[in-house]
Amino acid sequence: MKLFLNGKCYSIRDESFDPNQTLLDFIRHDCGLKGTKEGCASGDCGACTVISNNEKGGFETVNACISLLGSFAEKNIFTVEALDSSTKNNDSHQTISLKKNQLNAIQQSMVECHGSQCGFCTPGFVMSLTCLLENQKIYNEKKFDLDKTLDAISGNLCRCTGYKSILKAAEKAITEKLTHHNQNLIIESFPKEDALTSANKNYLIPRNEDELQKLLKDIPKPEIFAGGTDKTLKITQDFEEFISIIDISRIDSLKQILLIDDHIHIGPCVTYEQLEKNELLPLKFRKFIGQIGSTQIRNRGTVGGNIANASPIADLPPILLSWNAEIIIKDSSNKERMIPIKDFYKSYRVTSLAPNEYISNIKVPKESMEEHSSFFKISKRYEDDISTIMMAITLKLSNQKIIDSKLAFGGVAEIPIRATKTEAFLIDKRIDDLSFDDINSIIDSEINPISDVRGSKSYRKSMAKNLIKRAILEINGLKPTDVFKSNSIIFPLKKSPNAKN
Amino acid sequence: MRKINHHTKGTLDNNSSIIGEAIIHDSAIKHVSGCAKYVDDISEQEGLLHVATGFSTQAHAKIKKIDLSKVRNAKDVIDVIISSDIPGLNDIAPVFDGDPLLADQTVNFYGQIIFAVAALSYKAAHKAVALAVVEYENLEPIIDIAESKKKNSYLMPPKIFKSGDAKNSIKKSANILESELQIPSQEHFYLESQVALAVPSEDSITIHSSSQHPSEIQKLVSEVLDLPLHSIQTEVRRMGGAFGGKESQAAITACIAALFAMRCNRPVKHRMNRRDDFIQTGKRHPFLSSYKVGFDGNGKIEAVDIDLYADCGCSMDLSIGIVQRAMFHADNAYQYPNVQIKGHFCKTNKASNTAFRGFGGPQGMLACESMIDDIARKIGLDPLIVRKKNLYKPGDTTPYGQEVDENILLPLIEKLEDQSDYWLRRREIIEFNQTNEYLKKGIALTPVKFGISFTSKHLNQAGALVHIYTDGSILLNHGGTEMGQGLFIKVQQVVANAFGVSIERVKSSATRTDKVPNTSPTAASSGSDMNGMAALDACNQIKKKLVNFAVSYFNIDESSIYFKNNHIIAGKEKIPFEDFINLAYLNRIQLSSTGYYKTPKIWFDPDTGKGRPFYYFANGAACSEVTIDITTGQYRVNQVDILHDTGKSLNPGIDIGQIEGGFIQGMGWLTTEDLNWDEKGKINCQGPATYKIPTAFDTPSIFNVELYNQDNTEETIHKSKAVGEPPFMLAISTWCAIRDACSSLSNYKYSPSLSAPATNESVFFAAEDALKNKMTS
Repeated sequence: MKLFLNGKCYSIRDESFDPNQTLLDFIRHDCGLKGTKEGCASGDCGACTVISNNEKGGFETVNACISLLGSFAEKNIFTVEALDSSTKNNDSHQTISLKKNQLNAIQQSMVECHGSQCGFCTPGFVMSLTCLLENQKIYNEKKFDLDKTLDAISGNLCRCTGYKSILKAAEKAITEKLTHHNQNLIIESFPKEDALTSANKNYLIPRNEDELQKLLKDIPKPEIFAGGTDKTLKITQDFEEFISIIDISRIDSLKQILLIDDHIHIGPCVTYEQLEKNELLPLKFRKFIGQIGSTQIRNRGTVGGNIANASPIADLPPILLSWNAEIIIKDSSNKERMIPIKDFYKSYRVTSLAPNEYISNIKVPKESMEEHSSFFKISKRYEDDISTIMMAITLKLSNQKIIDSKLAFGGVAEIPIRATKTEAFLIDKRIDDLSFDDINSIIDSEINPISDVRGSKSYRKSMAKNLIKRAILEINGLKPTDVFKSNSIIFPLKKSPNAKN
Repeated sequence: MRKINHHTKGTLDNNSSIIGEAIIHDSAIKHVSGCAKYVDDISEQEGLLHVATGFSTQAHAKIKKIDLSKVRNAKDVIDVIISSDIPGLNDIAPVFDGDPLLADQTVNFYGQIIFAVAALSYKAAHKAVALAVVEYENLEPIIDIAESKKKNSYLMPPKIFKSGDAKNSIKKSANILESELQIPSQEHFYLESQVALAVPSEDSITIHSSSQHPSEIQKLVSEVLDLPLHSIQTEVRRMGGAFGGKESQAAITACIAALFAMRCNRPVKHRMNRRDDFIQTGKRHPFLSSYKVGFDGNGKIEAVDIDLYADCGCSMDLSIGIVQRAMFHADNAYQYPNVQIKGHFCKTNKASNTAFRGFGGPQGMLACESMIDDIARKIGLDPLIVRKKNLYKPGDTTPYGQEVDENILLPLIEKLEDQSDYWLRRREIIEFNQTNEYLKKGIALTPVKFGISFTSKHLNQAGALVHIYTDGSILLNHGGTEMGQGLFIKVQQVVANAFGVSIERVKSSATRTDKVPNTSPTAASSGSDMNGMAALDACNQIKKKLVNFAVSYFNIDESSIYFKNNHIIAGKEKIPFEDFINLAYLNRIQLSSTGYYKTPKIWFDPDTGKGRPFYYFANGAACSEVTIDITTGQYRVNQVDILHDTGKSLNPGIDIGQIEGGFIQGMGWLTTEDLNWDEKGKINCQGPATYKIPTAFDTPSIFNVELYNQDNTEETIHKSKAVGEPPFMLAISTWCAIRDACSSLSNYKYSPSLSAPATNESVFFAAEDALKNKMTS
């Protein structure tokens, strides 16, 4: 297996390759580059953030701690050491392009704005912001955009600074240095003939579904990985070891979003990042995706993973339930079956997938995406948090009358569920003349959430009721009130000298 | 020997801009380029062993049996230890006894370490730990304060501060209120988890530790290994955050690594993974405050009777100081004419709770500020009016007998009131709340008055060591440790200023117990106050010799000798600093000195609860505005304005960073950081997936921080004030603002019960509480 790290090609021999090795371990221990830190080993803090190249010719940030090394076969990885000319290496094979200055624009401005205190999280922030800056250059986005910047560092935790100085540094660097054409990171590519189907006999990278099906037949206990944003935790947190891993993230046919015959087909290896950018999907949905995970997680986490992982608090299943999505499943002999997502989940963390099966597609009727939909996620923290409760509702109206309703929840049962009794109640009612008392008592009877670390049973029940009401009022024309978009009262104010009490 | 001429010193101070300049952190360039080395980044020596520990899965139990045979036989395992393998003392408690390094017979909390494994790799050590078989005989655990009260489970008798007659005065007051508040715990969440590397050499062991208290690491390792102190060195270059969590509890990794290093004669690293750090180490003390207050019709407090129950966990650790500091701050900035403050030390089956930025102060202050809000609602006044009415005036005395002498609280608050446009915004907010059904706004302006000095008197001392080399470069060492707070750069500024040289000439070396011995922890915000003074003392001693030399060498009066702009000016001579130093060297002048400082004026009598425990107070105030969504309890902090007193700031860049960072950390404590335990005493939050510290999104989009520039009236280092902890408590304004928004639902007639932290869930129920009480009133 080969990859470029900071412009230098590394080849790892088969016999010394461990399919369970993380990218972070490779960087810190095998390469001795200590600038990339381990803060949590669970993809929550961003201290291990590095930059990789994506398929669109741009860059993306990655949590090295929960990314398997094998998944970077033939890719480029850049660590903080690549940005600093003081680590310059005369090895002609090493093609790190560096500026004349020691520090890049982000680093320089982080220094000037007092953007670091203890410094442990700093390389991660520098990488996230460098990635943002470089992508803005590539995509010719000329201005500092606060929301974009917040998004870029949504997966980076800092415990010292309170973030203000970091945001200031980002603004300064992006405003002042966006037009500077300094190429900090140069992507190296491998000759085509070198392309391999597997990094290693224990870390297999099928290029197409035929190869995947063959592997599913041949390998006794296959572990399927795509982004691995959840599954890798078994390795880093529980110290489990997988014997062989099948990485399906390079199979093109599983990575597409297509419109075929009134249905949107979403491949299981489509990442959140792809969902967010794809214009076939409704804007409301794409905006909502931005609230899931962090940038680093959205770059790697996939639709198929979120579904197959079968967590009762996963973010996508309630939406797909409210859209009446169907899961297309294939097995090792290319036999295909289709199952509505509402029948996909059997019990806590159990799906109807057999060991030799995989999700090959998620099919959503385009029509249902065009109905009135609302999605709400409540979590302790707005960014990068797992939901306490998640609700998705899709209503079809005809002359203000509800003629079809789909209501789904995460976090109220052991699997993501549809609230079928409430759905039935809504049918044939006028949207502007609904009894919320009735809805409340029906929803109360059909959900049975538990109290846990993320919220109490009574809060979850109250939220189920309030979110339905909220969604209905909004569909009914109430201006959406998003507290996260609220502003300080000072905006309309003019300072008055007589403003004493 | 003559003293240094005051004129010389004065001239230097006036001309030098190095004090008060926003110089960048000494490691800033290393931080951003990834070159700053933390303990886990030190190149791994050949033969290095990695440690993992096995811990109790019960909160309270007798250990019936430990079978470690599979652990010992696991792949790559080199050594395994249990309590009986400890050659010296199996106790790493900082003040009183009671913190075994490895559990012996009984376990007192879920996560208590029972055995440790040293293996060739980190993974091998962790995999081996999982093979242990431990059998328990469960005992009844005490998991919270309520239960400890019920079962009379205390670590020591309560402490009392008293002034006047609280109980009787309350009875006579026109208005009486009583209430309780649960004050939350908090995980430190330093980004670098606990870590130590022990390297044995010929006749000693060097511990590279991530510790705020290298001397205590040295002491505890020496006790555990039964070796004299001179055989142990601790080195701390920097920490990846600490916040109090590495004051006493950094000793766990250091002692275990040292023990293996001695047994195996190999270098040994013990780095806790994030989960182990969550489970095995103590947190901020949760408190229960219970108060009774009497006040007049204008909201003027007449008497307060307050009980503070601290959940200390299973042992004392530093709880004596923490509970006392909570008591010292249960008045925050307000005069209580008659008062009784009682602090209780609850013993529970949790990891021993420990130091955390504010050291009990935040808990005491939150109890106080929540009470002030209650008073305001009761009599229908804006809480800010009640706050100002009860504020200390110069000459007032605290419940523990210390006079508040600076005239700063009221002018500071009034300045912020004006700058933040409090009253205009209050009116607009009332209007906003009347016209918005689901969104409600709240605002609160709260002060902070925080006592500076260790309340254990003997800790208020510091040492430094300054060398000038013959090229004019200066190496500085002191007992303070760098955890990101900018201590090193501040003390470098003091030294550079003393010799009139530019900052680049001064370098700080890692804190080492073999350079400056018997040091105090870098804690209680005292780092730059004490180490700055000690370093200045060292500089002055060298300067004295240099001046005497110049007087005789140039045959001039000492009043014409200056250290300025990298030169020595001696009458008409202007000599580059390095040339002068070299000249002094050739003339056999000593160019190195230790320095020492002890904080003056402080004393405290624990028996009477009276004294002057603090050299001075650091003050500040913050105004927070929030918007809440009453249908979900979700909210946003929209604007924060802060005015904070750092005396004459040594480095405004560093100080503002401390204020912003302290505030957001305090905001996390009172908003999203919801640490909780299950009914068996197992901690539910074991990592950042379930424990949520603020992200950049949570930082208010309008966040104005200004320094209140007024010289410290005490003789501190260049008239500055400590800044590490006080800003943390400014965030109480956020919690009060959320409560204010909830209270708007009762037309500000009712003080809703808002549990802390104010998670979405607590805000939702507080809003419901306010709505309910609107209907009944």
